[in-house]
Amino acid sequence: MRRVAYPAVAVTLAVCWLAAQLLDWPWLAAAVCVVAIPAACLPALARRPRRVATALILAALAAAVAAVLAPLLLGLTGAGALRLQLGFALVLTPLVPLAYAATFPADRGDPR
Amino acid sequence: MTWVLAGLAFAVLALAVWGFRNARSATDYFAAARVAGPLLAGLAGTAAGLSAFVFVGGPGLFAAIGAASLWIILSAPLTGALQCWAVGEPILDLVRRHHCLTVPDLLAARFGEGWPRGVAAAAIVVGGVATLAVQMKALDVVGGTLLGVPGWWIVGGAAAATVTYTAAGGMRAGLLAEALQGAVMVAAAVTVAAAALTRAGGPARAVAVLAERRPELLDPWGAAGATAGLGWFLVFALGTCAQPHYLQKFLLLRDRASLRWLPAVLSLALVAVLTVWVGLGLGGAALWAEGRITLSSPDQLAPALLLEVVPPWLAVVAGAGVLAAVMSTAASLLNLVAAAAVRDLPRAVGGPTSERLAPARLATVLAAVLAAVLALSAERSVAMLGMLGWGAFTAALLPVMLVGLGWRGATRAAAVAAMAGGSAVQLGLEATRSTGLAIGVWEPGLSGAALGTILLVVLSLRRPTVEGQ
Repeated sequence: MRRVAYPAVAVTLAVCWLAAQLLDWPWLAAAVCVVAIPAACLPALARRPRRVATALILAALAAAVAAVLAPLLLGLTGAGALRLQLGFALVLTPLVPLAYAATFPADRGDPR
Repeated sequence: MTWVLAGLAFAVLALAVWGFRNARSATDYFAAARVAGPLLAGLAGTAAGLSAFVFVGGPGLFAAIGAASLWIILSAPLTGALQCWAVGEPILDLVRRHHCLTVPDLLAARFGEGWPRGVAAAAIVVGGVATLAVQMKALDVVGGTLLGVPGWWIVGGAAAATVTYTAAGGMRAGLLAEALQGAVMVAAAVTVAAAALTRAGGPARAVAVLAERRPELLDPWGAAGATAGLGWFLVFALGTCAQPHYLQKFLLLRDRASLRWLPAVLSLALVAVLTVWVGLGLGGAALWAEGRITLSSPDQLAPALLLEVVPPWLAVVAGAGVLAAVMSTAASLLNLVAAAAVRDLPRAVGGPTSERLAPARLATVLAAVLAAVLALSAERSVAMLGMLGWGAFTAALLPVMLVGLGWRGATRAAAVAAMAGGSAVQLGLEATRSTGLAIGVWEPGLSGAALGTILLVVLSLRRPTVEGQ
């Protein structure tokens, strides 16, 4: 990836993260979490023929993280919060690796 | 017991002899002759990545701060695919073109020889020894409490066994041992977690007990607050892309197609092992809240639970899991530290580039001795020591592995500045934490990585060069 979009996103996230810690702003920290994980995978888009499908999967990943963080930041606590945390893990454990396998570009040669 | 110990000693010696005979080149010794498929690499990666931190520190942390501790492990379902998407694919491209054997090799291939290789190697030596110390500290805690013998006996025995086969056979022997240890960890973790929750009356009752007697343990953010919890979530998600013992497994793969199902093995094995964190943590905290077990410190939760509550055979299963976790992580780190010390640091300063394996074998032994000294003299808890090692790798390597490998515009000087600057910030924040000065919600590893990312991009754009070289 030669363009500056990827590093620009990386720097923006880094600055936002430092600001979130400095000011102790959980919502900004949560926003960084939601964006940073899919953003780390952005260069993978360039290596794939089906870029739209991969982009949709990364967007779904961001939405899943947001769906867990928002209720907790809004004050959900106790057994309900624990169920949400563990449910997130149980649902995504099979789905994310399957999404990776489904979008894997298989025709790029052997490492040796 | 004598026969069990004799059998283990025989197995270790047999593996060492097999490894010694089959590790004839640097590729054999540092990259396991590149024979790993997704199952072998996935189990070995999980075993190496999950240390005693999970079996001892994790449940203890749950007893101390409750559900807030889960932010450390909640990213587990994402990390297998995240690693392959973000760093696994570019790493295999570099391996294909440059035949890299170590993480500093990757950075030298991307940014050129000299400083990039040297700074990465130095970070691996420092972070590797700290993480090795965690393994030994955990054994010290478990051995002293569970078996009623001086902890350093257990530390010495496990270290001697691991060093024997790792020094003799490198990753050629280490890969097989780690994959087997990964399977043992999965079985032990699921069994022990189920037993602990059953003794506590089931998950629902355990939660009900905590809701009544220790409701603060069900607060998803804990006393540290939401920003700190999110810092853990992010550092343990993105940080997997910077842990050399994870990255090393990409260097062992036999072909690129092995990547396809690697996240499935990594994620399933990872989440299976992490059930011990939730099971022992939740069940044990409920039993503690009811007064059915007594603890002198949260780190004692796992050993106390296994000693006082579950049947003796289950304590042996758990002990096997802890031992497997310690030995697998230690083997990878010993090999990484040895490679950094005898291969990468000399090459970085223009020294001789011998392919002899004897210096690597000696360095493996010395790294273990250094880590043992650090572990037995450290006062910090297992969980806190674990975060120190994880954070050191994250701060130093995350910017160059994520942005450096993903963006052609990144330059050599900027990469060196990012690694050095990130490490300095992380070590500075850790120093303030260990001296008792309040550092608020600053997560040292992630803060270092954030500053390193800014340095990498800004310095690269300031002095762009052709193809970033």
